[in-house]
Amino acid sequence: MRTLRAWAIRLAGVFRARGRAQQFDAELESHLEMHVEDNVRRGMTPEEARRQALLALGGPQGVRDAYRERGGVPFLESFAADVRFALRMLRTAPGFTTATVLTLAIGIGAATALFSVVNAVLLRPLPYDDPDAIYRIRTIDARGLPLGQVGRAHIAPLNEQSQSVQAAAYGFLQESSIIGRDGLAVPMNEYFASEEFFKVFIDPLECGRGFEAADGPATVLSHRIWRDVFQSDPDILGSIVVVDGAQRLVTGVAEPGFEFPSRTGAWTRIRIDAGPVSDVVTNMDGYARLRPGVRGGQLQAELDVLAGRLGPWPDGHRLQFVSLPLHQDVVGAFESTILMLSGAAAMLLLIACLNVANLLLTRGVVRTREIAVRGALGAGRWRVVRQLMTETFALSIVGGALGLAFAVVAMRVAGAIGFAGLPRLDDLAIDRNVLFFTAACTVITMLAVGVAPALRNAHGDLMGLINDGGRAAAGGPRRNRLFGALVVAEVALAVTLVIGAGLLVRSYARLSSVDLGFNPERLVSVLINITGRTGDVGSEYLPVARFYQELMDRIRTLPGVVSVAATSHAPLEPGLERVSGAPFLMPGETFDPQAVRPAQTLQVSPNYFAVMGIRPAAGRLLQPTDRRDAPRVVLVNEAFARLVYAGRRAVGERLVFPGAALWSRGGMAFHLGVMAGDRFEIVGIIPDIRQTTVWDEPQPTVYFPQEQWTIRRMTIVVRAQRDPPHTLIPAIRAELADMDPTLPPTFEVYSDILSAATARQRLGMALLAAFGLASLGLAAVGIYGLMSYSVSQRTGEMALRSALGARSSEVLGMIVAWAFRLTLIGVVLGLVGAWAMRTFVASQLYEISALDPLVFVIVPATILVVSILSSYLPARRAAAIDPAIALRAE
Amino acid sequence: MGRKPTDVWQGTLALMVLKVLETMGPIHGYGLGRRIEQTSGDRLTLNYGTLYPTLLKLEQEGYIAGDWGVSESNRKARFYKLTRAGRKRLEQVAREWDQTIDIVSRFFASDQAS
Repeated sequence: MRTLRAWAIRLAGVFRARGRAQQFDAELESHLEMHVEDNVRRGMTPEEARRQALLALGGPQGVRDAYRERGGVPFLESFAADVRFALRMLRTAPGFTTATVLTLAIGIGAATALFSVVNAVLLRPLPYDDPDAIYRIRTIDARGLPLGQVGRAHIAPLNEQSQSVQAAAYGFLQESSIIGRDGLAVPMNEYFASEEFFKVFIDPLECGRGFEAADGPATVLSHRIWRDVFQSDPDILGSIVVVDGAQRLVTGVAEPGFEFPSRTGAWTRIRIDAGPVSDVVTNMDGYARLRPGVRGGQLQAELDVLAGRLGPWPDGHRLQFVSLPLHQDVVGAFESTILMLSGAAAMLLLIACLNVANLLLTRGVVRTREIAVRGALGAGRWRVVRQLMTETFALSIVGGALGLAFAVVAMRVAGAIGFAGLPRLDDLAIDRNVLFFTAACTVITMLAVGVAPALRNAHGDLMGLINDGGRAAAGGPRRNRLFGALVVAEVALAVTLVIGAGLLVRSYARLSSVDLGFNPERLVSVLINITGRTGDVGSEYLPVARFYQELMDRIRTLPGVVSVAATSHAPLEPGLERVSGAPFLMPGETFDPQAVRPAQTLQVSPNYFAVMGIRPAAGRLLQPTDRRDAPRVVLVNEAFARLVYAGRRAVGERLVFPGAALWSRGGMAFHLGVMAGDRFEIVGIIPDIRQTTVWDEPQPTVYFPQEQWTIRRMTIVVRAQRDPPHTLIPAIRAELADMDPTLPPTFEVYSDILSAATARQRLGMALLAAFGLASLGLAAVGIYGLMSYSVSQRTGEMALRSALGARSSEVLGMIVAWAFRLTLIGVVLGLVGAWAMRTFVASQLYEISALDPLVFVIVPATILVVSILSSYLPARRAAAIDPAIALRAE
Repeated sequence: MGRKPTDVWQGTLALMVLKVLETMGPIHGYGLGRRIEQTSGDRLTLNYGTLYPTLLKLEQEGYIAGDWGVSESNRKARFYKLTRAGRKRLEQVAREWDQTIDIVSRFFASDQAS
């Protein structure tokens, strides 16, 4: 306690050093005078008295020093002195200071920006209770990719008998709407889930309860909907709400922040009965919560056993489950992109460090004389090292702070361009973790970059200096080799980085030029869900079909509209759960659950393909005459024709879609109008369209006329006469409101849809290209710096050569050749590095090889040219040295 | 005895300072040093250079308090006095010393006895 008090006073004393010193001087003076007085009284002469007094004191300066040290914190004071000195020295070398600070800022800024992304996407835990125990269950689809979904038959056994699973649930998301107290419909996402859902997500409820076995159509509202639509009505529990046209009993309200999986407004209980058809409905999400202590491997093992028990898919391919932690499922492919970018940021930081190390070493050489003199004046080696490290410290602090500012600006800019389509980036912030990272980065960089040069520069051989006139200590082949090695390392890293950037650029260019199969220009999509009407299947058909027809007619007459059509899911539109699959049969086949084949199904208006700019490959398109009472027809795409009729003529063949109404989801019957047993004739073949993603191959698809298979939820596509098409939105909204004010539409412009579809690749490319350019710049600066320094050190040698008859072009050539040699070694190393990382980079590329020859040739060539240019100026200076002047200076 | 003047240890110096202050009351640095030498029977030659840092340390720890005043010869000087905490510390240290002396003398007593 007392010691603490003493230290606190000493700390405060650091700031009042001068005042303390003055006070003590007075005290010491008074002490001496009193001692002298005594001595005189004892009989000494005044001079003798004073001498004795001083002797007894033991040397006043020593006393003052001891007193001063105890009065403050010597370490802090010398540190403060070092900092002041460092700042002064840095001010005298503005070029060096600016270069170092900027270089550090670039490296630390890139690392910080990337870390903020890593923090938001990968490190932040999901906002659910005990999220590590929640696993997503998928199946391997017919393409061999783990993107398939599950059905009731896959999930139910996990709830009945499982060692590893505490609860398992299935569900699917649907865009829907809820009627508020004022009678107006509010659009929201509705998640249909099985009874165990709130046991997987462990009752994240503010009040009420989840689902129970005895429930009818029950729903749990999200906190946001409860607050905004129902004004936080305390009596909401037990009341009836109307969602998507159907009545629901509210059994609970979720806590704020729980909106799984994507801004969900309500979770509704569904029940799918076991049966032959329900067993083939396999387009739902599956989740499981593991029992405490169980690991993911155990779940997977159980799933493998289950798959064996259930047997293969109807189309023959083996049933295989894939289980992965929910976090991984949410982040998906973005994780590998982020990891790649993190590696690139680390490389950039490394390049920056190498540059700074080089700068510090060079500066050390310049100050050899000063350091040697300091050593001669009594500074210990350790003291000098400390002072040099303080300079590095000052540079690092400023560089780190500037880097943080760069990172903030960069993320703001990136955010303004838009992160749509990328998971978890809505919450990008500079939080505690990021600040801590920046600080740690700065400290590590400072140590890594500063220690070796400080140690190296701190030895000063004064005698050697005086003897040689300073030349021997300054240059020397060993130091040049060290510098050269640093430059080689920089170039190698830059080559690897820029090659990566080049590959991503090419890949993105390839992706951007994929033939989508339709014309997306000046296109607006309007998503509408006809709600507010309950009832059974048959009687609903007419109003829904008529509604859409009238709406489209109205929109067609609006100024600026070229054409209008409708589809159950527009290509590349988000909301893939709206793309359904349906099993189909050839005529005469009986429905056998084991042998069912599913195809992707879409419902479209007759003019859909014309509006989208698609011509048939064979046969005809749908026509207005393909009405409900007309013969049943469908179109198929080329992928379907290849798969089912390989080689044979598909037009004229017939398909049967058994019991479509039976397996409309959970008995909700939103598919209207398709009768079981109907035979559909294939009247035309459509070229393949990218329906789900830009990069996935189109799947076998069957298109139904909207009149013959009517669904409530359609996307109207409108082609505008002029850009930008969103100017049509207010007029369209007005027409819809005029027809039915309770229907809330969702608008999207196709340019935004396309942009979101390739957002991940674009972000990766943009960041990596930025890093690549930065690394190129830093490497160029590094080469320039090394050449400049080397020339200035070898002035005498150059002059000698000139005097002996070397032409200036020879001297120039010598310097440039040296730079070229170093760069060449660096390039080779960089190419090896790029080759070594080919598998990792390949996962990010679309149709471009990780060893793409164009990139592997252009990048090294560019860097060699850059290096030659960087070395040219210093080389010219070397060649212009007047031998007479240089030699005389020796 | 013929013993040479010995150096004074830092810790025991602090103890002596506190004791003198308790006996003499407020006193300035020079007077303090003089008094210590006298009390030791002039066997100690005090290095005044270590006295002042010791005084500073005691002041920082709160055992003594210093303030400017006027000496008997009408000179401006800095006087130190014992604080309550210092008094308590002195008692505590005195007790510890007694204990130490007691234990050590037992050793020598047993040595003589055997």
